[in-house]
Amino acid sequence: MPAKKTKKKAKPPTATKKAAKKMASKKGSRKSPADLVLAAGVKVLIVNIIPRQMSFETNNDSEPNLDVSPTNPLHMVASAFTPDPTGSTNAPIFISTNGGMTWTINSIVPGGNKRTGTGDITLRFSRTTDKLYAAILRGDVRLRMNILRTDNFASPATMTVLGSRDRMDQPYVQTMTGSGGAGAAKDIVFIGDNDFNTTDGRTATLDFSNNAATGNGSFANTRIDPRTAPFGANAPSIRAAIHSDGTVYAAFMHFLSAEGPGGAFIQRDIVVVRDDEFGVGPNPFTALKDSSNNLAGRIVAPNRLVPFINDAFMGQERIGSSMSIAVDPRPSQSSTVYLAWADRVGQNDYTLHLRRSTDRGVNWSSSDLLTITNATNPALAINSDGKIGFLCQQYTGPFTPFQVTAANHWETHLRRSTDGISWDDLVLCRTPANVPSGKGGLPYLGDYLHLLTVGSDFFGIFSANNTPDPANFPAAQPPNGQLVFQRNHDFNTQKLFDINGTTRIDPSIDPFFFRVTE
Amino acid sequence: MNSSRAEELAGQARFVFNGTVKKLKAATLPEIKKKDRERTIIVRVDQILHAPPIFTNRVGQDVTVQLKKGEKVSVGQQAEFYTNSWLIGNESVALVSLGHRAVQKASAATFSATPADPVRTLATRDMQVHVDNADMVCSGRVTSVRMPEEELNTLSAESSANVHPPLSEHDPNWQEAVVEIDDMHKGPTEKKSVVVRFPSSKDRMWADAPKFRPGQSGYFVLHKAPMGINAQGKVAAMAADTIGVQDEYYTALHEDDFQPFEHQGPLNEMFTSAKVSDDESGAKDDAKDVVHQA
Repeated sequence: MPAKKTKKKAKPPTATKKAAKKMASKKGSRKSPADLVLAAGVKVLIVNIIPRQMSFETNNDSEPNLDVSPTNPLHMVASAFTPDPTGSTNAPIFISTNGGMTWTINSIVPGGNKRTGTGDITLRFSRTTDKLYAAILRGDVRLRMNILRTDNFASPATMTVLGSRDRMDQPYVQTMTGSGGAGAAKDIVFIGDNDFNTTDGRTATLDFSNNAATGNGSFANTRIDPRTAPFGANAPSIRAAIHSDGTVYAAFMHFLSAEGPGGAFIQRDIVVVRDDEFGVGPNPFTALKDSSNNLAGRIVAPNRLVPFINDAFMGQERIGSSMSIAVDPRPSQSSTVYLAWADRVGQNDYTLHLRRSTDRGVNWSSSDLLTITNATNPALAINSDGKIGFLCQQYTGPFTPFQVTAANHWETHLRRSTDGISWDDLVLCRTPANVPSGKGGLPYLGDYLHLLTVGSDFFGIFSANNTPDPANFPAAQPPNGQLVFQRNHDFNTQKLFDINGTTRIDPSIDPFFFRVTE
Repeated sequence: MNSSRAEELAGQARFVFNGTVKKLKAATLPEIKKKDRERTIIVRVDQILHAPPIFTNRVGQDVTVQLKKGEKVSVGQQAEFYTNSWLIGNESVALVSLGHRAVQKASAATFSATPADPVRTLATRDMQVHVDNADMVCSGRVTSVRMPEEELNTLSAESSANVHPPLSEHDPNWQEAVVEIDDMHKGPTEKKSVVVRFPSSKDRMWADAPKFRPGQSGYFVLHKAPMGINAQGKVAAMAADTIGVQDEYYTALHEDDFQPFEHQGPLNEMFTSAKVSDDESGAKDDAKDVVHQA
């Protein structure tokens, strides 16, 4: 009974399929294929991307990532800590070929393990072709980073390893192509990562290629923090934002000092560096200097307390390194850049801050554009109209460190603004924070998630408690919203079922794709 | 295909089944577009020989199989397919063929000692490979758990002025379990106890490693790894040629590296049968060989 219900819901609306067909036959249509996926009137689509054939699974499918192919927005890929359900030596990615309405898994990531699949993973399409790049920590050899590529994300061929390095952490990939000059039509790939192969604490690194589509991509790497820190290291989140004019911003947290049990209370500077030529000049990422020390890297916020608590501190989630950066993608707008990070402003909180620079990172808003208490996983993206989107996950209810009750919730918010002053607030998801119990290990929801834009629309992914209760997804309520669960479920009884449609399955953490249409 | 080739393929394939070819250049998943169906066929699953749990209820169902380049079948043909997973979708699954052969008489019985349970057949095979790759396999009991001594020494020497912060969310936080050995199944038979290093971290990177506590008893499948003290003063696994490597230690990093006695898993099956066989014959064969016979 639930199986039949799910089957029906998982299919794209007939009107959608007809529209897609019509679009396909109408050459020169100004609408992109992705415009035609949603049913009429739907502005918010949220899809639980676990396929129906995997209805049995109760993994902690956390730390999701997503990309939409710019050349064919019906093509999408996503990732999470999802193991291959057949126990193969590869880990899966999620793929969609119909604009995110349905998803399947394809195990093409080398080095999976039985519990988490791959380690950390992020993925991006080329901006000019359907080639897919991924940066991972392998699941079979701990802290080994691989840079991967495939020409066809739907084929069964294991992704090609372009580069490999040990003692690495949290590789976060971004891609671009140049709007002119040497970078035109080439796959420019930047990976922010934490490279521990040093003793001076300058671990924040960018691996990059200006022609990643050919051969092994000839990736180079450069450390971007000019200041040493012999007793510490940069925080794990190192993020890049690339503009097609050659501007590349990167953000990281510089280590100042540590104290407290296990050195968990860390003082850090929040820093942004910039390069104006896709990192190819003789002194890459030194274009932006701080007046306090005349060294590369503008200190946006000095001497911040950023606790690194690798335990279930906040709603079963750890804290310690949350960061996102985005540049205005429009032509001649690369001077506008937004930065979000988390630190502590009071006794026990973990607070997100959002700042902006409109002069290429030289000066920054003196106060926060947004301040969100007890929140993590910031993700920023700016659309083709210059509208900023800010995705994050906030822990609500009475706050006691290391404790969670039924009164606590995780809320996933997408806030949008055209001026950085007035914001709307879409609550994509609001679920009890005490379910499921965090026996699956850390992170609970992930150390990151992702937000991106295609044209004017926002696309993103987050992980959350998968109880099939439509009330948990306020922004997906009809008539303007649509909620899709692929796995067997019953929205009326709010229960999950195995593939047989009768065996109950406990709630767990699943990845949810969303699209918000402007 | 001869039987040694079939055995080789069975060692690489996660899903082996007897099936009937229903359609050529076709697929059960819409994600496989028409242009990509040159080598895909629809096969009805008739009998499962070994499989992961996700494929156990497939008998009578249609699946998509992508044939190898040059591999040929015809509609109506019955064959034993050696496959791995490709796509797992909403309505069906797609597999990649490693090869096929004619259906064998009493196929399942010749394939495994437990033909009624294809999942157990695969799990036992996986565990056998895991045991073969281990440096020591023993049964015993955890008597104590402690922090490695060299890390304790570093921590006590650390002044409050230069506290080392955690470097990464993936720090393993190594601990040691002292295991009193009852039976040695593979490894130095004279050993009465072994120190096993394991990551106590709750991080997902180490989530599948056993988290030992005193009193646990069962089978230990251990692997040697070179270790030393890193720049942060913490115990770390290191490449063998790294400066600072102190020694090789037995480690447990994989969920199959420990199996409690009460768990009716493949290790129990292997070593219980091995012990019975040993007792009956009085043989003192190398434990690994005994495991192979089991």
